[in-house]
Amino acid sequence: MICLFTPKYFDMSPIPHTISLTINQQQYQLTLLPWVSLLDALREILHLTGTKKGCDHGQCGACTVICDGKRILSCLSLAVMKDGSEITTIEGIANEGELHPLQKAFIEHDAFQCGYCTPGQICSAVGLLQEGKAGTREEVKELMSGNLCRCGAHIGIIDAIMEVKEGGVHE
Amino acid sequence: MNNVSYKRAKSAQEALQMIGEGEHRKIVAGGTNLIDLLKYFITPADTLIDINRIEGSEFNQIQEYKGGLRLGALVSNADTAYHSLVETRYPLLSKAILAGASPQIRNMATNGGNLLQRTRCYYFYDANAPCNKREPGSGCAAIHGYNRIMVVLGTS
Repeated sequence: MICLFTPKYFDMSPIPHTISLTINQQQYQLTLLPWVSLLDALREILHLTGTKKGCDHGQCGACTVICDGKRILSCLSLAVMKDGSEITTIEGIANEGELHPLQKAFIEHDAFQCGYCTPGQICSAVGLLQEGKAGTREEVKELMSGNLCRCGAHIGIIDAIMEVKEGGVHE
Repeated sequence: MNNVSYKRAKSAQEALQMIGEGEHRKIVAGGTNLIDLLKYFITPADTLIDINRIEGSEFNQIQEYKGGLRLGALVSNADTAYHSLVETRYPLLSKAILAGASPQIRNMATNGGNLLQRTRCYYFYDANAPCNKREPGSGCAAIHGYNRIMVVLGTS
């Protein structure tokens, strides 16, 4: 995580920062260098590897987490900037072992193949439902466009979200 | 990623003072463009000044102003697009914002950063390609036939 390439204009030694984060309702205190992304902090320091690194440039949505109630990209967030925030990752979506309705619907609708984009898809879908801006299937598709699936499971993904949105329950 | 130090400004005054203390200091709010540029080593920066927590409601609100609206620099793209005054009085602006980026990026990106973001040209972000914007005088990949995405982007 520590980059070996140091640009010549970098003329000071990096100062680690201590921050506190609430992740999946658990408090953490972390001391890290300022350029560590929230994604790397989750994966490499806290070993919460459910959040995936896809492109690492904000284009694929695999790293989507929910921060203070909003879905964001953890790869384009510096951990130090999120000091004091409340974060939910895919590890915190289920409720005490009981799968979230979206997780059940994803299984029911085969909304994945390799599964790499799935944590981001589910966190994004949770955010989408909380935002309440999507009415029609078309709107759900548009508002899930920040999450790419190279296996092409989008139809199943939209089916799963539509079912939960319309009150479907899987047991 | 570009190694940087990090400072958090408490007020606009403090942010201005911090930015003046060095040559390669950058203001960061949403970070959706700047962090990406730092990952590509494209923007010289040694210090980031985080302005997300500066005091002052004018930065965090959308307000009526002289017969129009004033969009706070720290209001996110999503909050701007879905703001009732923007939706009712400036529906084209709302639609334009919602046609850009992705829902996650719109939740992060701010109005101020929207104006300050660098070009989205692929050649600008590809450090192997010459780019007059990135390095003045180096040329432009699109001009001399490397035109894989030229139809979309044109040249400069």
